[in-house]
Amino acid sequence: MDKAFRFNKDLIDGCGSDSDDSRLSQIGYYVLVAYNNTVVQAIYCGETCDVNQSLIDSCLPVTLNNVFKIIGLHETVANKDTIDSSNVQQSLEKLSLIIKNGYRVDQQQEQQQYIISFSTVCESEQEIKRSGISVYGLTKTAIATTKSLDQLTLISDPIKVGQEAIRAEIYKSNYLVSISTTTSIPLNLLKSHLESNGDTNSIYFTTSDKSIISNQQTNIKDWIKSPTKKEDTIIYPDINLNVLFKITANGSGNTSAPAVSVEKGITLLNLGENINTISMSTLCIIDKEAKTQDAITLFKQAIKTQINGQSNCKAFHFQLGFLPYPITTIYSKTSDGKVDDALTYNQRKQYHQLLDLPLTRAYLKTSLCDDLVNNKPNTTNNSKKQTSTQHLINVHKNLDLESKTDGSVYLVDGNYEYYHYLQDNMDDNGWGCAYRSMQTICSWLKLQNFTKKPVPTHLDIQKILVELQDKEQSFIKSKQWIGAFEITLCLDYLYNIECKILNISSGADVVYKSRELAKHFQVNKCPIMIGGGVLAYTLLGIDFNESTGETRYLILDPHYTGATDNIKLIKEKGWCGWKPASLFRKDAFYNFCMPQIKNDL
Amino acid sequence: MIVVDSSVKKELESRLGKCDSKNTLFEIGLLIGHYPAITTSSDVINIVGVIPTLENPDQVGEGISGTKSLDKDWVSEHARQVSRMLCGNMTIVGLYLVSKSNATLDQDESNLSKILKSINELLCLTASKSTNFALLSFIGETKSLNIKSTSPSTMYKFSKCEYKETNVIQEYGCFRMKLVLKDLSLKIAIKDLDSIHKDLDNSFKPLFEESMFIIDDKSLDLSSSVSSIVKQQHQQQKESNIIDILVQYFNTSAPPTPLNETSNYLIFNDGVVECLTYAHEKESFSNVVSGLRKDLVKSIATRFELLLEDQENKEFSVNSLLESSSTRLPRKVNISYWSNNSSSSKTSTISICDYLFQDESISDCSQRLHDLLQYDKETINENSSNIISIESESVQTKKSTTKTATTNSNSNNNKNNNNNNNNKSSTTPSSLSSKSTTTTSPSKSNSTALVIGLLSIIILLVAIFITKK
Repeated sequence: MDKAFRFNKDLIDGCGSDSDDSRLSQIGYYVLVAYNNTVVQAIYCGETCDVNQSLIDSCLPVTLNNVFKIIGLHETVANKDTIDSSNVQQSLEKLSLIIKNGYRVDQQQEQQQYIISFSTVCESEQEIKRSGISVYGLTKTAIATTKSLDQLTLISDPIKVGQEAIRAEIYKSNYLVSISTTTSIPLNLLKSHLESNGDTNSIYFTTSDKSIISNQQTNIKDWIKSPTKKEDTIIYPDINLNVLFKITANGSGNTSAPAVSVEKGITLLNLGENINTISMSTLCIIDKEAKTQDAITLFKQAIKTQINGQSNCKAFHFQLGFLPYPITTIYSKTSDGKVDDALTYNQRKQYHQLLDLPLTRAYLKTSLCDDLVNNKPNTTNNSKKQTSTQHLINVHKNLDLESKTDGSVYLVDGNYEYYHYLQDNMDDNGWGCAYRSMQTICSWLKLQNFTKKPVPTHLDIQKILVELQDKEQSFIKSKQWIGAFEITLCLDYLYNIECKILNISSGADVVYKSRELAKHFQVNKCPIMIGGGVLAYTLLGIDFNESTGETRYLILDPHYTGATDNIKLIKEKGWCGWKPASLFRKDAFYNFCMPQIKNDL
Repeated sequence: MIVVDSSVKKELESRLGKCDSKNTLFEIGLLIGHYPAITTSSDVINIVGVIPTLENPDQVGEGISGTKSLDKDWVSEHARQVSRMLCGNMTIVGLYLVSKSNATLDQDESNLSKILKSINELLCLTASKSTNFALLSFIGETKSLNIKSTSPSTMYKFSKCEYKETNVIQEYGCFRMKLVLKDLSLKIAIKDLDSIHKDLDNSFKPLFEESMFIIDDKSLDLSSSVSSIVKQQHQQQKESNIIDILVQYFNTSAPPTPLNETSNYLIFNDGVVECLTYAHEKESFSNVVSGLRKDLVKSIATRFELLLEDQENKEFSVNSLLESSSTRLPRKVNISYWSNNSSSSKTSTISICDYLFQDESISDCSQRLHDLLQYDKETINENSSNIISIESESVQTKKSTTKTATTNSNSNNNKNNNNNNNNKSSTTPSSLSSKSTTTTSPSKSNSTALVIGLLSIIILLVAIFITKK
């Protein structure tokens, strides 16, 4: 091979992993999209490899000169340990069809190199076994002549490139531009304005300081004052452009007398429902050296691509960790002009499949979208009074997590932050343990991408409880305790997450609930807050022997007042550690607050 | 401060000559001009032209002995009708008198005060604030201009004031804008047709206050002065500057708030209307923008008024509009103001306008200009270069085939209307009778429209047939 292919590390490492959000795990075909020679994204196109333009478009930002190109095909094969020649032939047929159709494929270069790759998924009742990826490189001519696996060159050790390097490469020579309308625009008017070309330039793009993007500046870079850093979790556009519509006719155009009709207000109300509108917001990746004129053409193309075939909809952006650019989804609006996540289930499911996201977690709910247009980079909406300090992540991973009961260990799954006394410039020593336990749960929800909301402060929590009329006004800024019930209210209020309260009248009975707790960690995977008659704790897991009933409890203690980063102390003094069942006092009652996480979109 | 354009004195001299030839003692007329919004100096009136008041047929026999005997209602009704023909925020700024000698003019100016008060009241229906007025007297013997000013605040008492003569018209720039009404999708709550001016103004306000304005794809800083653009316009001998509006949203997406289920809303289904404004070089672009809005509102409101007057015997109301699916308002014609006057500068940019009903043609317009402004009838015809622009009637003129059809139907239209005009041309004074400017009976106009419609279809078919061959 002349040119070495490189791979998005997250794509290739994720393939074959055991986790739920492993990549390339759906049975069927994926088109491989590359920037230069780096495969950055795999778009799922079903078991029959149903590639079409709008499908690919919906998953990629519009680019100048199509810098993202389809460079190959991946097939995930079910229940087989080996790939045979029929797989190879089918894949090659499909790839050659894609090349023939020419969309986002560089047809000019005869010497263009392509790849096909395979992985297998073996699903049994007990477990799912996923293989790693085998990658083969071939030329355009080889696609037509190759008949079997032996004729292909195996790229034994594909070069992996991390997100940072991919981002650096893309944004070194390109800008990310967002183009949006400030509000809902009737689709037909947007279309008619887009169609009028040449002299009647009736769609305009303006910058935030109201300059009109025009040929007055020859190059697009002259318009971009302060490019954004691309190392942040969310990649913000270098420039946000607004779409403006010219509602005046050309100087030379004909005039005509106005025609009027009179409508009753009631008719107008009904008419309003029939107008299809779009809240347009689209992204472009454009060469830094591009001419303004070409940029304007690209912006219009980006709008056309977005509104193609749509009716009454709104665009949302999401930054997914494994992709070097934000993804834009289009959801249908209800009659009142809003997008209801419950009603977009099927649309979201389709995007999840295309983007290879697990179907057990809602990544693309509107509440989770990234506001790339209005939010300035590096601004967080943390409450000012109680500024956030550092929190340790997954502190339990420093402990011995092997079972000591000859049973199994059931643990929290996914990252969480350790919240304890005196953090965030808040002296809550003696009263804030339940607040801290709730904050740990909230951090888990945030880090699992269930929410975009910041972890609530003590004050936030108190305000919610007053608003819900659970507490009197005087509760705000007080040092009153809260318990499992209050946390249930808050989680429901903040995230629409229900909690199950396991009420145990005596600490001696906690040990009989191990089966239930184990199930919680298997299904919900989320930390549990332990409240009740005494101190509050956070439960991160249990070590449970089903036959003997012996149980150890992995407790994260919010009463710790030491230095946040003193892992040694935390570990040695057992602020995070395994505790026996005797931790729970016979003379006290306990409430286990167990958030019920929906494993659904 | 009153600034009189140098052409005005010449015009008054020529008016005096006409007085002589008609053997009348004096002539009264309207002063046309503009109140520039210049913050540094207060109360400036720029006078750019004159329009003589028509002779009152009731008074022809008696002869007018002095200003005291002038019919207040006659003069102000003429002023009202003339005012409709003024556009671009040019307005009636006062009265002029020409006379051979000072002796023939009354010293008692109380009747003139009454006339101005009456004019102001009629104009106030459309103007936002009461303004100053000028009184120009030109005495043949001394060839001198005697200038006074007055205002409602001084109970219309006249007083001497500062004035100067310059080429003030050359300090004006013209700004035009062609608004696509359908794109705007405005829904205008209307109570009744009497308040339409106000309703329209309220509805267009947000558009003109919140949008972005551009000239040649460059956005305008509304606080900056128009002077460089005006100078450029004169240097390049451009007729006007084209302004475009950029909007962020269309009103269609949201119903007007508060949307009252039982109220009536006016909706523009079609139409590309041009509005224009003149701006003094010391004014800012914000004056241009508000000027364009005022002109737009005036132009549309005037058309409703005309419809209302045209149908005075019929019950023309919101309800009658409701019944018809779509009402096409009269067409606007823009005409060069100085077309009747050879002595004045041809390079001036001031224009006037008229409105044509569905069954009317340029000859009707020519008739009205003759009646109201004493234009020669020959000055305006359909090929005349004095016609700056004329709005089309057709729904869409994008395709060339429909364009031909329109022209054909127009020329046909003219033929029919010429006949009509012959009938009514003898009724000149009645065009000034308190209301109607058109005298075609409604039933007649309907049948004419039908004939025109049929004819134009036939012509269109023939045209298609020929082009196919």
